[in-house]
Amino acid sequence: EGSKLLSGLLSGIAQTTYYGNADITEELLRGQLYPEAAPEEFRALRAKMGGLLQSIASADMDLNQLEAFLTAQTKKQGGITSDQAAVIAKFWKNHRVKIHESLISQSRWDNVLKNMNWRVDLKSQSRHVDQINTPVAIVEMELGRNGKESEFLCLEFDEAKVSQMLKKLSEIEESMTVL
Amino acid sequence: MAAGSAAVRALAALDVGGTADKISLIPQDFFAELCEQIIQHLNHKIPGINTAELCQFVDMKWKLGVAMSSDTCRSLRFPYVAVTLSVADPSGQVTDKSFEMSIPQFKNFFRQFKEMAAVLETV
Repeated sequence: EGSKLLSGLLSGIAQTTYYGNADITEELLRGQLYPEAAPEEFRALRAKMGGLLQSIASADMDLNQLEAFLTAQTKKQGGITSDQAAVIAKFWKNHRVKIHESLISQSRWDNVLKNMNWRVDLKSQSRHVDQINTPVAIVEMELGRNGKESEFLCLEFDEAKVSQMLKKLSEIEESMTVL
Repeated sequence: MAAGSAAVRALAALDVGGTADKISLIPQDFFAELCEQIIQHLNHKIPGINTAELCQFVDMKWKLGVAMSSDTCRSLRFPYVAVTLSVADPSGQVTDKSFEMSIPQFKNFFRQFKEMAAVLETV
């Protein structure tokens, strides 16, 4: 029973801190999970659990690091119980990837490629002398950053330009082998 | 049967630019995809491309980076590709447009350009 409540608390903390859900207030959590607890008591619990989650998320702890960390917390004065440690461990296992992605997303404040569409047109160059029809690719890229409206970029690529682009992209792919 | 071929002849008479010949060069499933997109655009389901704003691709600079830490996360370890495209607007003025891609986004980007090349070759 206590485990379920703690699990709920951790979910609530994750909602505001990592998933951008401003509706999950401290008052709401207290009312839903620990209605009998005094506000200061609940605030302290929330701060403690939030702090632990922040340490775990900031280090993006793997299972070994997590176990060592939580064990140390159970041995501390004013630390956590082993039941609480188990709940936190289970929560982190389930939410690690999503929380990490959210932290990454928070750090990407430059333009990001959000979407890309393209089509191939046949461009007629001369109606009178020769019907030279050059195929061109029309590419639309949606560029955006956190909290701002997207910018759309429309580019034309003929076959030579696409080759030029492919050459550069191959270079990038090759350089990725060091990752 | 007769009505059918009359319709075909009537349509053929309208085909001044040899469009039918060009269309027959396009792979069938790709052509079907293009028609579907045009229909969606006409039904206001997808935006079209405003050719008045069409820019020419001039060049590309790139770098591969790894975001190590941030104020909210000490262990980000997030690899990304940062790209700057030099593009010429319809007036000829060249500007730089920069953006980043995650590795999966980059792989998709690369794949799309390969598909583009394949189609350009076919047409």
